[in-house]
Amino acid sequence: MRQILPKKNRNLLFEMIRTDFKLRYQASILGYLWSVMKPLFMFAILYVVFAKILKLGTEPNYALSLLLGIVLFNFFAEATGGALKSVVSKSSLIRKIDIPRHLIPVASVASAFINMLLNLLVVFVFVAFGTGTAVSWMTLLVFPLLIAELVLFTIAFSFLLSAMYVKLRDIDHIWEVVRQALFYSIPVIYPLSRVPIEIVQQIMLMNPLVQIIEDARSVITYSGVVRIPDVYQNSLMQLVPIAIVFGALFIGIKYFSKRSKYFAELV
Amino acid sequence: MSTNGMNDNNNISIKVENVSKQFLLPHQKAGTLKSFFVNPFSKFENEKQMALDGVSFEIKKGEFFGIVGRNGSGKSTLLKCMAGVYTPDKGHIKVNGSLVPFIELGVGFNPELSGRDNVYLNGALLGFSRPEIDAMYQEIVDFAEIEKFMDQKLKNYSSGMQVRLAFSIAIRAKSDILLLDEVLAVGDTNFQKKCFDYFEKIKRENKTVVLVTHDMGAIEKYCNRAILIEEGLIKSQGSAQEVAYLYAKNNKEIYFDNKLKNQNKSKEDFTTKGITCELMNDHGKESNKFNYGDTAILKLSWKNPEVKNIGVALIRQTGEYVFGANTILDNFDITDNNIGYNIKLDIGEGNYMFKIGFFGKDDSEKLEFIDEGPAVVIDSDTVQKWGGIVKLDHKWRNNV
Repeated sequence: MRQILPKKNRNLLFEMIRTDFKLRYQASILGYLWSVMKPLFMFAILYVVFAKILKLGTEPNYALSLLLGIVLFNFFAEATGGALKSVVSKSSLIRKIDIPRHLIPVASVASAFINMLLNLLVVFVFVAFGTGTAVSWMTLLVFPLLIAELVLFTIAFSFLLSAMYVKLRDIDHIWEVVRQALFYSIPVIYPLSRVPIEIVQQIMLMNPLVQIIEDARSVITYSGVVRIPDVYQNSLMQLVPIAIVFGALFIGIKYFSKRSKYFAELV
Repeated sequence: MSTNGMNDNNNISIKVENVSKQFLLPHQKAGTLKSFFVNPFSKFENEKQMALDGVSFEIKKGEFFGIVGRNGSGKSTLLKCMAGVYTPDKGHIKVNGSLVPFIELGVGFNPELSGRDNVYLNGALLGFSRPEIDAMYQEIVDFAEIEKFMDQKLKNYSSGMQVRLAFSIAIRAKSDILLLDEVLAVGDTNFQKKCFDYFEKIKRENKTVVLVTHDMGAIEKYCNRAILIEEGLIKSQGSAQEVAYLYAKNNKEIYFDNKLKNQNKSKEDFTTKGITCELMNDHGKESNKFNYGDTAILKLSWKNPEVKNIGVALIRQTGEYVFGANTILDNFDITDNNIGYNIKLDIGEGNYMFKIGFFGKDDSEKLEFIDEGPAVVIDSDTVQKWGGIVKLDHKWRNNV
């Protein structure tokens, strides 16, 4: 840790996150409250449409599962979307000073991370008043690990996307579409158990986002979710999404450091 | 022997070895998927520009080192390579010690943040931690003289206030090597005075400073050594005085070339009016280049029979009217439609130009006027040993 983030860089990272946070809700009356209210509004809309009108959510604690799914997915979407433009938007810095380039997308992810923590606080308030939730001592152990996995996966994409965006500005639009598709391809609105074919469930669970959301639900909202051991005989399959996360991280860091030499002349 | 080698290495602050940097300048802003699909195999049409082409030099510890060159010569690219902003395509740059670049003042300043927040942000970019900035915050504010504005957003600052704030943070940077890029070009005289005071201070502190500028005054005043860069190559390196002299001379030649190009055009203009005008040296050869004390010969001819009086003025490039005379005041009678005019050029180095007026009997009766007449470039092969436009008779004496 000390090697990756020497003191000087830690100071800088801290100031960058502070700046990002200060600027985000500037001149808005409700300020930081918005970062909590936005997912709640989204939750309210989706809940009314899918649970009340389409009668999708009959599972136990559907509402809480939906909220948790939204918060986790929102972090991924918001952080990658913000990080994508982070390098280009810091062009005035990059062209004039030799700051460690990798701090830029990391700072962007970090400020989305703080947002997610605020949102999770709200989730836990609901969980505290809920009944039949799956919270136990295991939650304290497993949930932080899942969040760590999610953060690493997000950082992997943030490195990749922010470096690609410097060269190819279409990435912004492409990623918007991909995010949209991802939202429906992972079980945020619908429970994974509603997916009728087992092989589709098997394939979906190889996506780290799906695995993280399902595992998180299993320790927080209710235990009846579909997890990797439920659809695979081989328990080693649990390692595949984790391997994908680290693979993506490796590729992201490699690509970013290869491209970052030329950021100053391209942005 | 090996100990000597060690010492040499310890004395070197920055070693630039055979550094090349090339930029690809796309003709149109390519980089969309469409252009990729339309033409996937051919690379986008890029113009290659060699910004630096195998540059090598060394800067010793404690040296005030100047890099000069015209716009687009590659001097800023070189500075950015030294600062680590650009990665050279070829070659190495070895930096011995901590380095702070001032490629621009107030890097990272955000107009939406308060002055206070910007101090912390800019300070972090210069490598300071929060407690360190806390400790010197008051000093920064006092030096910038903007105490009561610190909680206002930076966008409400005047540009002078922004520069003052940026400068007072910048000068606190602790490092062995400072890279400065024409920081002097901004700010009012009062601010420039502060900059110069700061330069004097760091010069006394024996820090290594690299200054990129085209202000020859600053180079001669502060630098021990300098290099002159032209089209990505080191044209010369040596003492600051030598390099400054070469640079000035270089510029003169370019000025001279441009002048000649313009002159051919204006020559055509007045030949249509029946006027010819030639400038020659005392060997009768057409020339624009003279040394101090040479005699220049101006030959004029015209067709208008009304011309009774001709005036010739010599103007310096910087605008001073150096000398003028006319035929009536000199009691010279024009008998034909051509004259010669000899003038001894006892004037200092620089660029000059003739203006020529053709008048009738009355002074106010201006018939023709050549506003941009022949150019005169006074050059000397050695450094001129006196200053000013004209050399006046003078004598030094002891015991008076």
